[in-house]
Amino acid sequence: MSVYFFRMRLRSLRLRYFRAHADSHLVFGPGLNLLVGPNGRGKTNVLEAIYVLCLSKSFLGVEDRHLVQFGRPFFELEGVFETDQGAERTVRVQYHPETGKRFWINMAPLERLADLVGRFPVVVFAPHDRRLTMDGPEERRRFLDTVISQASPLYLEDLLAYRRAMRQRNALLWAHRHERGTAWLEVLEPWNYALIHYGSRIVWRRMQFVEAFQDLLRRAYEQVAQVSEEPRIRYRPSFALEGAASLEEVAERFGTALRDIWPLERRQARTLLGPHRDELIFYLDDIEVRRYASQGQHRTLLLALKWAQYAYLEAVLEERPLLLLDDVLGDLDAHRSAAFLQVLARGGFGQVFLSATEVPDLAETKSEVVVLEIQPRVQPDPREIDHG
Amino acid sequence: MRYTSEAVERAILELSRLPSIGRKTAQRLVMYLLKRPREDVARLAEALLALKDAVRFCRICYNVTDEDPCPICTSPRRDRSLICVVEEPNDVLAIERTHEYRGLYHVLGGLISPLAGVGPDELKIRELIARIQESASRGEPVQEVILALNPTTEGDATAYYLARLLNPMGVRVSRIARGIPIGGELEFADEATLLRALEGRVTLS
Ligand SMILES: [Zn+2]
Repeated sequence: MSVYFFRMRLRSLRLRYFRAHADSHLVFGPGLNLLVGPNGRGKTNVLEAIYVLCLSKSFLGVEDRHLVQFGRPFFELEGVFETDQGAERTVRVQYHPETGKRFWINMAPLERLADLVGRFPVVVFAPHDRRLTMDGPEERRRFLDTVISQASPLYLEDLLAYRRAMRQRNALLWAHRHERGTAWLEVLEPWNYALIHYGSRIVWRRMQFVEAFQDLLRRAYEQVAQVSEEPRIRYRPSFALEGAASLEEVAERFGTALRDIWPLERRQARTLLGPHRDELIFYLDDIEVRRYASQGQHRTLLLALKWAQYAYLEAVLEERPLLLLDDVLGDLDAHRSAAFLQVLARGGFGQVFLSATEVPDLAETKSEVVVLEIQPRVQPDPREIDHG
Repeated sequence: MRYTSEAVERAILELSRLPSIGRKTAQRLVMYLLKRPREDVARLAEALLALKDAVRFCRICYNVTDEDPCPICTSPRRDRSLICVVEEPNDVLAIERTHEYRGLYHVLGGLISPLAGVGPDELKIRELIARIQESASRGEPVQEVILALNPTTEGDATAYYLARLLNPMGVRVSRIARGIPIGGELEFADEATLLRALEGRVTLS
């Protein structure tokens, strides 16, 4: 174990008009940070703010305008990151309904999302994540995109370009839905090209990711499960991929499949194939998790997925991601929650942010723990549903 | 909330139609203009009208110009075998600043974007084809078309469309290399970056 991990940590965070926080300033420790406070939204909002600084969005899928405190004109976050070499990066994000969301790192404005995503890697584990193994494929595509984007800025660029190409192509299909002639197909050509070009790059990266991830997931599952089941992920793109061994072959398959489905696309006037239709299927031994697994299996797999995600980013980036744990102790009994805290405090993780309703028993932990009382002067937000 | 003056309301409405100007900004501008002397406001109004009355588009390259054809198209020192295709007049300005490019231009007036209702017919694409054909019949054929389009999804699709049209005509089609940050704009790229991009262009076929 002589691998050196570059260390980056969040030293402080300022929240202005962000959710429950009118103006909060927090200073964090390098290890385990406990965000403790009454059950409201203040704690989760701190984790959300950290996530916005790292990945630009809320992990709860909340729209930017709803992150602004009710009745306020904008929100602003400022986080000071620090490396073990002493370099400082101040990330500032400001959202205003009229100008949108803007980012600065050390005062320099960021032009591209890819300049931010992956610079401060982060893994979050929140009650909301339950959907990952239980709900529809969209959650699993989001999982893929969140992990791979942080590992590769190019993937994120491709993803944004693909979405754009698909929207353009859909607009064109819709505009010509009643047209009998074929002259307009010449105008569709460039969008088929763009869809295949970006789409196949995404599929290719997802294929490679799933292959590398299998082993990490297996090892993580072994650690968290009491029984010996073997987790497996099957990546199922929207078109037949069997045997495709290169990016060019993926593009070729995509092109062929797109030609085959044309009559249907024509009738429905929208893009029916591509990475936006991909599925990821989880198995435990040979049981499909989404349909047949027990509550306990769901929970164990989810935890393993998160640990494996952490291990993947750590290995690829040679850096320890920030770990955000939202209210994970609430689900565990006293004994298990003590064991969980021990695992966290034992190390192997970099900086950890854990929200809890009360200060847990930390007698067993040796490492430095910082306890932060989160009690902003809460102002009720009539738009809010409690995220718990 | 509305102002009691109809003239104020009208000015705000017109200003807020401009790109990146919201209603609040428009209100601020109107309040500012109200406080200016009449001559100042008249000068602004004249400058705006002159835009439509005096400025023309060059009948050859579709760049903005006061004389038609434009000085670049009529210049004897320009290499007529080379056409650089750009999106907007601002891009011509950006490339001219490098003082390295000696060919001609063709301004498309936008990029293909079904979402914005812009197809090939809304751009100066047919005019580009005619121009190349005509150059061949005049005995000074265009040899190379450089596509200096922004590296966006729409830029990619437009470049692809143009390459498919132009390749059968026997001209070399190239696209400037991606020295410019993805999603960044040509207009704002510095001279050195743009120069590297021009030199490193790749042939599309
Ligand atoms: Zn001209």
